Amino acid sequence: MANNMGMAAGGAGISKEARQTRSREMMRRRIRKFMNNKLSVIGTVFTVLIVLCCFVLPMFSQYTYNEVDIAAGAVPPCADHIFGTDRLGRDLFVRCMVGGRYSIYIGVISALTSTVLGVALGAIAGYFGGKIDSLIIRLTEIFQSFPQMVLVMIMVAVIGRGMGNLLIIFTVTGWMQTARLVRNEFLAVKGETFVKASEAFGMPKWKIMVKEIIPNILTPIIVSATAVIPGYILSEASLSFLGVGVSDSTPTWGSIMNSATSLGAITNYWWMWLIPAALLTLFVLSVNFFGDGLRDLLDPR
Amino acid sequence: MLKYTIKKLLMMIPMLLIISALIFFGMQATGIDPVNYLASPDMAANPELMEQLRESMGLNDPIIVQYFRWLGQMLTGNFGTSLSTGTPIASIIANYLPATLILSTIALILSTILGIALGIISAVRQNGIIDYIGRILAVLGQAVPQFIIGMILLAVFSVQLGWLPSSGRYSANAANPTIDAIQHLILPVIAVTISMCAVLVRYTRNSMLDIMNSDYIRLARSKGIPEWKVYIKHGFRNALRPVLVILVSRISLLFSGSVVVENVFAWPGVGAELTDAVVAGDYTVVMVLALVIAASVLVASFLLDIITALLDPRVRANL
Amino acid sequence: MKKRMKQLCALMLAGAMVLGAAGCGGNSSSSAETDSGEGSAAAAADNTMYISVEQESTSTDKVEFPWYNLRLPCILMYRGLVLANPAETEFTGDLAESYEMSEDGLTYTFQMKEGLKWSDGEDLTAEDVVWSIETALKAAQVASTYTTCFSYIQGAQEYIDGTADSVSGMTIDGNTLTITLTDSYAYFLTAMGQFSILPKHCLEDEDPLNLYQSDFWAAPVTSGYYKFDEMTAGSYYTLSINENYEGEKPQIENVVCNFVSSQTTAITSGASDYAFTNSSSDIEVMNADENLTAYYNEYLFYKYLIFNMSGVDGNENAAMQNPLVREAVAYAIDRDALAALYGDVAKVIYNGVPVSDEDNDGMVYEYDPEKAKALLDEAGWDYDYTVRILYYNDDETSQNIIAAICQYLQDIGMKVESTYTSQGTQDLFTTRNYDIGFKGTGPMDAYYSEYMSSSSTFQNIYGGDTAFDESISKLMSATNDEEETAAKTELQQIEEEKLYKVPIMTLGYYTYLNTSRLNVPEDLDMGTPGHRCDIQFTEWSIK
Repeated sequence: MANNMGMAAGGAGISKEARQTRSREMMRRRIRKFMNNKLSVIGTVFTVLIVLCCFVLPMFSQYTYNEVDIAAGAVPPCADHIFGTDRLGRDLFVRCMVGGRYSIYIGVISALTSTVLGVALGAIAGYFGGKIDSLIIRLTEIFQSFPQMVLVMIMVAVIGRGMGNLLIIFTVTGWMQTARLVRNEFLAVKGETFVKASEAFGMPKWKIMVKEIIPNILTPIIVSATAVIPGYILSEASLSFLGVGVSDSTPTWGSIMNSATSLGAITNYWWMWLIPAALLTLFVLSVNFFGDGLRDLLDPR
Repeated sequence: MLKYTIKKLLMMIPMLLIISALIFFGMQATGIDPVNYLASPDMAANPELMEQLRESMGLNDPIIVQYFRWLGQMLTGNFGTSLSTGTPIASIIANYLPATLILSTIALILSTILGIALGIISAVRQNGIIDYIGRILAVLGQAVPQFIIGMILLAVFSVQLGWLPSSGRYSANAANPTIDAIQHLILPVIAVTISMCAVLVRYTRNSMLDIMNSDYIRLARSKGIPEWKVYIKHGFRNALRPVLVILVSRISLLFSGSVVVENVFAWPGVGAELTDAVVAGDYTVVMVLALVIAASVLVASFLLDIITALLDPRVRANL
Repeated sequence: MKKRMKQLCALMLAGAMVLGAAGCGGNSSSSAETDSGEGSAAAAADNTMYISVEQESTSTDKVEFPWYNLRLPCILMYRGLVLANPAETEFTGDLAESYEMSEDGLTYTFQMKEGLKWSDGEDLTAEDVVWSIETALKAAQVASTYTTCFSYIQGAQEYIDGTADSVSGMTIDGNTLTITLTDSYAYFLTAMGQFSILPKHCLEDEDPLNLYQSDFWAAPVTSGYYKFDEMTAGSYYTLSINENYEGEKPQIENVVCNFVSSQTTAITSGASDYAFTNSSSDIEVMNADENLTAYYNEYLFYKYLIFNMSGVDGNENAAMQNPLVREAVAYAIDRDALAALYGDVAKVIYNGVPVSDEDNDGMVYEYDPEKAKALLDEAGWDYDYTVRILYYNDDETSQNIIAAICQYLQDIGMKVESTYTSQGTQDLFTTRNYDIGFKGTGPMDAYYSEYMSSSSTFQNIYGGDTAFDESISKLMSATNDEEETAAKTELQQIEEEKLYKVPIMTLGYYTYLNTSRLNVPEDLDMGTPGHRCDIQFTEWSIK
């Protein structure tokens, strides 16, 4: 995919071979730049590591994330339970890993769906312009003027809590930035020769949008989609803390922490909230740094 | 300029109408029956009585009629009462909105000053120690959930050390009410400021860096203009514009930036109020609060549009 | 010096936590060391007691409605006709000078004290008592203990139905109030000790249905030790000595009631002098605080599951109709494990009579998931159906209990979904959008009277089933041990046969006082939190 991007950036009028070597050369330079940014490398490593751990490690554990054994409750980290157990005796290591799956799942899916929605609306606005454009722009203004957290909570009041609903809410409240970005990119690209040429060939409009323009602006879209993942993960955690997040039976980093927010838990059972908090923080940090690096790599502007 | 102002002002009316319709019909879609809140359980067993109550409240009218009646009530300042507690919503707003505004205004000002200052220093001393600290703090502020920051502050400074109160806005019989009010503000303000700061540091730093690496700064340097003058006169002034744009978009934080923190510190603001109302399905309160927040944000962004227009020659030229 | 070190340690700890250092060693911060002298909230060293009130923020501009939840502030502001001892077995006059019960237990005569006054100077008379009882019969949001009790008064039903203008069983003759019951009711004085008499002259124009949300509660007129001073919405309200109180005045001049999000946080940070709880994590924290003294009360607060069966309107919830399914739930739950979550305040029960009670019939639902599964199969349970569990306590222990119950039901193959509501009464009995509810009540009479066909709330989920009525009446009117035993035996039998509830445990309560600030009598018994009883309050003082 990255190679594609390099090609798109390559100018016209150069032989195919020369273009390929040039783009390969550019890619190499960018990768070097990426590798030089230590934070990005560390971020990438941790992102991959945490994702792998969350999806693989629970399979090898002797415990399941929801196995209740109250007699073994509130055990601090030890050899048997390296993250300890919660009040119900559930193994926190497995819980944090499975919870991580859900948190990452929420972050990634919301980023994807909101990006798709944003790209669709932005493309329509940017390509067709005129009344449709100003209507969509007005819509983004309305949505953006509304404080994000308040908007999310009102949506929760309307459609209720739960995993599926949360994804819908994040999608509906998160598409605006992408839409504006895509619209602006469309405005910039609309006048380019290759678009004009496709139009002259009588290509259907949707095909021009999907096949010609969007691939050309994929880079900033990917970068912005990566950048919003941590935001969704944090929003979910906050909503779970306020009691309006995912349903109680779904573990996420946020909901695991939320079951240990009383003073007693904070002072006596640090592992119940500090470990998921640390994992959440570590992951969000890593994705942030990874996102920065990705931007440097793909979108040097 | 006058034309621009009037245009912007007139544009707020359809915006408000659309928002109010969205809110009203959204809340209708929840399927919450307000009659359930008003009737005692043994009344609820009597369908006739419930029907009477519904009729008398106008809940059997067409939904459009109900919408315009509600809108009319809003416009005349009749906000109705909370479904779950019966408190007049006007008094809820009067009691809780100032608390939120005080908390978030202070945090907004502090975070703006701090964020911009840290951002500039980071950019000027790029890859220096302060830059690294600034960047790490910025990213941490974004990565640690607000409620965790709040809980740690609470556990340490209020419970462990007993330096600051754990909740509320005032305490009774305080020897010095002003100092008391400030003491109550400190922890919530810190918690809100840290996370508000983070975005700004990052943004200021990036935009400052962009400017500092630009050609005309290099030119200014090559002319032998003193370094500090380059930073202030050429760098900062040009970096300020994009920062101003970010500041405009932060206005909405006045209302939403403190929702979580208000819950942690039992701060009697609209954020905590909204949370309770959402959990309780108290939709008369949700509707009015949403509308009031939307209206205030619209007014604020209108004012900022005007100010930016006055400041920015490019916008002014386009009027 | 030592303190400095501690503060430094705490600061460094905070730093470590903020930086997200995961490798935190040891039990980070065990005892909450506080010195109330430094805490700003406790800065005023004058003659003031601090109480913290946990309340939804929507209602932090009012005093809690005393007919629904009686809390310490209202106990200090209002009085009943009589005052109970902490065990609630003996009663002395409070608003009443004296009282008499007839031989048959049907007639109570109260001699009101002379010259009683409300805090605003108006006379407090038997009229106020009659008005309060009549209004409570019609009001919304009244604790069922009161409505159940008052329904025994002659003419109460006619008054509720609207066929009578007043309750005929209450007559006033000068300072004498006579109340006549239709049947003898063993808990009549208990209820009268708890029931707060409210000022008729302030409230008679209010709609009883909206009484609980009246503006009166933002500045109530009182009759107890204290009068209401001022309210700062969202933060606190203050009380000061009621000059019109006729008895011995308390030594503590002012009471400040702070609205807080957590009583435990407030009392351990020195901002409060009073807290009560039965949550084990809170108990651990407060027991570790050497400034606090704990008072344990072995109260029968039942925690149990209720099934949404059918309303009096005949609206049936199909999923829970099969008794085998309900029995399966009873066997699927490991009560011992659940009780362990509450620690030593919890005692496992299998029906409404505690296992330790000699009248207990020995019924036990041993934790047996296999048997539960077999019962479900036998009942032809639809394993694709999602059981909806509703609960209304959002403290940590309750949440854990719900999580565990969900898991137990999932273990026997049921699909489960749990929902929290902050509108418990409404969602349990009006909206009724659930299959199993998690509820608490106490003590025994309240627990059993929920089964009455006339219960204004439970008739909506038990369909007005009359099976229990007779035995409950027997229990309520029992005047000796044999009658009581017989009634309890009958009730246990019907209960086990119907299985409308799955009892899990009973809880006691801890009350905590900050005795580094408060001087209280050596032999103080705090009774049950939220119950009005003689706590020798006039002997309390600030150090």
